Amino acid sequence: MLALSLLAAGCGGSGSSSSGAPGGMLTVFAATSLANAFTELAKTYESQHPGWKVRLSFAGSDALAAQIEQGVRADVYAAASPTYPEQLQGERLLGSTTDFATNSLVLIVPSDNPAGITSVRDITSGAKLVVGDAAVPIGAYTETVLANLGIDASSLDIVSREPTVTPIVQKVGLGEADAGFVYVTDALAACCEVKPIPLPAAAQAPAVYPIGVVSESNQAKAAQQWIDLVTSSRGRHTLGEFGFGPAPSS
Amino acid sequence: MFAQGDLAAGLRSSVARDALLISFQTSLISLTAMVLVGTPIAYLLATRTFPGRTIVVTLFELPLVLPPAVAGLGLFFAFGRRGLLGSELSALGLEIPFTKLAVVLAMTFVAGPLYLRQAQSAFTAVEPDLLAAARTLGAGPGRVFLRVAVPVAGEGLGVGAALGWARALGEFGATIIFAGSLQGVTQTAPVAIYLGFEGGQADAAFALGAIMIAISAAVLLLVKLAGGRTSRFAPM
Repeated sequence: MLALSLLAAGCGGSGSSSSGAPGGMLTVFAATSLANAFTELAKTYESQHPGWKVRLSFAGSDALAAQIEQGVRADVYAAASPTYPEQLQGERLLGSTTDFATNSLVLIVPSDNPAGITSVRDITSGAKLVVGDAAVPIGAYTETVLANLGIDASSLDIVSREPTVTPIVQKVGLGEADAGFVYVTDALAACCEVKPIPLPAAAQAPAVYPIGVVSESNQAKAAQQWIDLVTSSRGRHTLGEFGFGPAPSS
Repeated sequence: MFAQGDLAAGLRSSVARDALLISFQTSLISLTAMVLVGTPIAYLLATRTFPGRTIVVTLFELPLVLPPAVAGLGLFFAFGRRGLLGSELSALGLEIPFTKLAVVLAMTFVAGPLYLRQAQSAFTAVEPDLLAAARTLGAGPGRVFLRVAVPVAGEGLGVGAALGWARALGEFGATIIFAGSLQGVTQTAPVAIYLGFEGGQADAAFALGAIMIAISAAVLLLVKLAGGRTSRFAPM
């Protein structure tokens, strides 16, 4: 028993946060839409900081916030909306945040477009729509977009409100739904199963992505170095490659 | 962890009430389907041998080991708009995904094999001499099944039904994929709990979870008590 716990303590690998530490494991909680970009940046980080491993955990921003509230260990939190970081800051669970990227929404349809949608207003003619649940950022942004377009959600045939954005892409990609609202970054990643229908600029709900160090992290220095990487020109370039927009100018 | 007040407040929310209603409606329909269809099949599998029996049994039991998310995708491939039966169903005016029927289908697909296995085991435990005696007394196969086999296997069937129902009630992965989530239509209690916990409504989620645990425990207890003796048709 004692041997096991010593082994666990040794392998658990939470490295010391003081400079000159040999390395450790950095836990990054990030919104699902950041998966591709952060996975690539993790490789960069690990080569820049030998001995360090980055453990990425992707989920809905709301799910990650709930996990942090329940005491799950994390060092960095990057969300797809300011709502949940602000909530955590109110509970003193998150330090100050930096807005590091933006995203925008797009309507997607299956590649063969069974409902013949050519513009976003076509969704009012009975197309089966899959959207995000209001609790998850993509759902909240979708509500904003619909409000900006003056479309009453109850007039739409919404068949499902998903807890994360991935099933929206999948169900539209399978052709089981006629359309769905997702991030531009998701449409890019799913390029060929779905076709994007751009939204008029006036209807957009610009999604702002904040990132911050989790208060209970005992590797604040390493966590800050991750944030520095994400906000560096290298980080901005990688995010841009996957379709993210630049950080909002302060 | 949370007080009675929170429990009551959690229950008062329309999300919780709708979720419980949908869960009970769909799981009871699913239970009916799996008992009506599964009992005769289990009887046949338990009392007959035929070439390919092992393969048939394996196919029926496959959903037991299938990850629920895979089951959900499989249901799309079979019953979706673009699925194998898609065009036939559309011709009949039926589009199954994202409907209550989709919830019932997903539950039955995932939980049915559990009932089937228990029922098969219950029928296997029935003394073959009893069945043979009934035949020699002139009963046809249907009568032997209904009037002898089912009553004698009753307790095992009851346990199987309770387990199958509990599994259907708790199903999450296949339903959320194949049926989606819409309050008042397809949002079952497990889905509502998941969303509530994520969306910062942890109290409502815990309340709903507590109700589900209480009900499941009550049903299992009832089945055990109603059965009386335990070991003759020992459940697996």
